[in-house]
Amino acid sequence: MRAPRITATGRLQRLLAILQWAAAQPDGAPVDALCERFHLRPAELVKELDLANMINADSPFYDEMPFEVFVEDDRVFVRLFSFRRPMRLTPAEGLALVAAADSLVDDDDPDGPLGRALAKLATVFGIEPGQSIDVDLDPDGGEAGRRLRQAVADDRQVSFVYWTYGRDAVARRVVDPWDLFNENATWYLAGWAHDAGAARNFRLDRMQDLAVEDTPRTQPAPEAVERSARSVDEAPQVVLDLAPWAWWVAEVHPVVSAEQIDDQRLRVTMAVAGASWLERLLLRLGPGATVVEIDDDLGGPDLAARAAARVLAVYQPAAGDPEAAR
Amino acid sequence: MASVEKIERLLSLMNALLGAPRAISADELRGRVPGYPDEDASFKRAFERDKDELRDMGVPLLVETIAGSDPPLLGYRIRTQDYELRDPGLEPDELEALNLAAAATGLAGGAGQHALFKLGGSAPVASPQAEVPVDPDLVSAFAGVAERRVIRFRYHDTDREVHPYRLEFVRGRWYLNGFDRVRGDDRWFRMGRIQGAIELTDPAGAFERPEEAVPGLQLDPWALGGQSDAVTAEVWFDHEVAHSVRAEVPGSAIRADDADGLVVELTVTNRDGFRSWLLTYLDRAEVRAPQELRDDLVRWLREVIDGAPS
Repeated sequence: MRAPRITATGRLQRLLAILQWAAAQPDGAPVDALCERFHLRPAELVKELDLANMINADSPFYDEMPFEVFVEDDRVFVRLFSFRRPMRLTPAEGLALVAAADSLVDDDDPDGPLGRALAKLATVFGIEPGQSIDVDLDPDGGEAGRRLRQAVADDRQVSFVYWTYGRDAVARRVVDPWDLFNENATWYLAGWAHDAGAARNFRLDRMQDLAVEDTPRTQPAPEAVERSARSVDEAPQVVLDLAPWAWWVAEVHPVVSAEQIDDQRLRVTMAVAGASWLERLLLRLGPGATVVEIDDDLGGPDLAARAAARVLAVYQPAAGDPEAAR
Repeated sequence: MASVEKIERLLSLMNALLGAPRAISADELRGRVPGYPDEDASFKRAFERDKDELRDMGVPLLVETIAGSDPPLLGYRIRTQDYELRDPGLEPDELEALNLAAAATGLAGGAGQHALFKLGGSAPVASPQAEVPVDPDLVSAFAGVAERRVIRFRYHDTDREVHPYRLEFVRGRWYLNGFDRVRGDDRWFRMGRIQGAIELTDPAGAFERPEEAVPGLQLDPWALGGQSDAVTAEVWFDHEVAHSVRAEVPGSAIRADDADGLVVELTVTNRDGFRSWLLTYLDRAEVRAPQELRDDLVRWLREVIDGAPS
């Protein structure tokens, strides 16, 4: 995988890193080692080194040249007259490193290499390791994740009781498991759902009574398993006006478009996984959301009111809509 | 402008400013740094853009009056001690562990990769096992925590001024803990619910961190960010969704768990959060006690019914 596109400042920072690393190698840096380290082809590396030699090359003052670079026998030799030390880490860089280290550090082994690295970084940033930042990633999806991975490896069917949130239905599902993936820190199983006769994704935290069956898988995994929990294209849509305290909705759920109408209203178009999912969202937001447009597939503009009546019937059996009461 | 020329110009500019014994005026820089346009207005624009680019990279560009200038003239320089990385003194195995951690969490791209380059690491290419989302507001909050700077933001329609103490990433979301100066109390904030951007204020070192460790995040929606008097709620859940509820409540809260359903007792300090959480179970849940929480919920539901378009 090659970095998609590098900005001028990104390239500048990479160039400094190349030069500083090469300068630190006592016998020069082998070209292929540099290429591997910085994910460059040899021709690209040469271009970067040429660029370094151009800096202030025309200056009348020799001492204004920051670096001297030459290549001999496939080794790169660098002398630094300036930029001898890397630039301090920016908050963004510090956050990326500390968050990565903290998410994987083993709390029972603070003296392991990662634990020690984290402690040293924390000192540089003046923070307390584990006190100022704490990242809990659940890196393998827990017990269910481990058993499902094993089932994938052993080519076996699995079954579990699953709560389909979009339809508010609970049922036992039989699935040929293909792959596990993580999106927004939630683990999903991608596989073939036998009852639906189609590929589906299932959240691990909504599975119960997981069983690995003796039956082998019948539906082989496609070459590219769809690893997204969200398919926005075909889902029905709703247009909502959100009050400011409900604007977070646009950040945590996939929106097709969002447009600020005035100080008080954000108009969002959202793809909806299922009518029941939207019912919940609208009930939770209450006066914070107004339905502007809604696909008929989702049940029409009074979707939330009917859902509210259904819940109300639990509290006031006589007062609720008699048809919606259980 | 082509990327190569821009890099050349920025590097020359940094080279001229880094470790300069005195501040250098824009005019002098124009003569020393190759590649600036000749025309005055174009030079000014290009120079402004370059200064912004340097600051965006994190270069500590200092602006000060040039000593002895009369009338006083502003100049620029970069002090070596501000610019250079304080060497954390990482051993090779520690650096390797960091490389792997960055790759595994999807933080090896962008900022994580720049950081590893600076530290002498190599940012291996690997497909991440899990993604930790990082956005500009989170960076501001982290800078606030690390540099002890007050941050300002809008949350639940109220302007806040907060001493940021701690960031936590749990179940896919970032949370911020800090002392809310407006309310005079410690609070947890969910980062995704901050309205607009976080404003990071000067100076650094504006507050002391609490001597005692910040208590860990209480994620329970009925308690997170709570601000009302505690009330004990008894809630019933349909047997079919009991599994999901069990995953969300502490075991000690469970009063009954059988074919008739799951009954839990919760200490509610955030009524909005409690209601919102409960409604995710639709008619598969019921608040049984106290009456005031039942009334709250009924009032809310009636409002939804009355507010609906007919």
